[in-house]
Amino acid sequence: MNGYVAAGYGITLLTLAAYALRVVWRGRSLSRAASEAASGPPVESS
Amino acid sequence: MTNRTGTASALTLSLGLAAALALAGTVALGLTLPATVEQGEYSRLIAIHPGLAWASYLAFGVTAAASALWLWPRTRSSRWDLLAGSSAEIGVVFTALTLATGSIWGRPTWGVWWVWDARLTLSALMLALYLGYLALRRVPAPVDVRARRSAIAALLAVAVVPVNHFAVEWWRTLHQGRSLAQTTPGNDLDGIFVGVMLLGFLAMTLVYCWLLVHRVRVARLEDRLDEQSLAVALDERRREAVLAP
Repeated sequence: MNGYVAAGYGITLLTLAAYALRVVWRGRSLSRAASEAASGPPVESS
Repeated sequence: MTNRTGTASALTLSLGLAAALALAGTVALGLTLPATVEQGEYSRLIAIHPGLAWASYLAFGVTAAASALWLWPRTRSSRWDLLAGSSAEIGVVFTALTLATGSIWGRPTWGVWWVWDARLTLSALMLALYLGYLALRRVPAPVDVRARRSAIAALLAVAVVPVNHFAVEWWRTLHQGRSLAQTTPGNDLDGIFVGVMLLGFLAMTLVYCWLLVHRVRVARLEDRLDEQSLAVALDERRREAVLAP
């Protein structure tokens, strides 16, 4: 395959995949943080 | 009981599957397009480059529409502000990819990576404007102030989109004519190229929609966590005030 064509397709697919993963991971970590915040701080045992 | 974490849902799963299939089809068909007399194998980039540009226009169009809906008092809602910001961020990714793939296509066919031609310059200006818009959204301010100034900026910035789209007709440029004009009868683009290019438009539209649903949900979670941390900080301050002698 031609190098320029491979570079065009490669950059597009890698960038879209990287951005998609970043958004999905951020969503997961925020969702976890939101559910932890909603359940309140851990109760201290004496 | 479902234990949903993250921003996924039945909608994103369906959209994601459709986007992945369309993108896989675009790549598979695009890479097997026949070499042309004028451009050889480089013409295979037609499967992705025009689709990326279309998705960036779509993203900035949605940003402008959502901004107008926020500014209109009857439809004002924080959801429009979140939608505008999310769509602009995705649009920036698509614009950067449009510039990158265009540059890669231009090097072997024009002999240069970059030229200050109307279409390329306006695309670069579009990228700079929306990077500025995203930076403006990060400037600390009350939510309403941020939403208002972002909405006004988005409505000003979107003016560059139609100018960029028609630049190849309004000015003499190195760039070829509008890709969509090539789909009409009597053009010089072969049917298989038109078909794969249109599949590329569909694939990028689906990818944009999938990313947008996830990104809007992330923005909502960010806002909710900001509100929760503000409430906790205010509560702590009140307790300190009560305990102070």
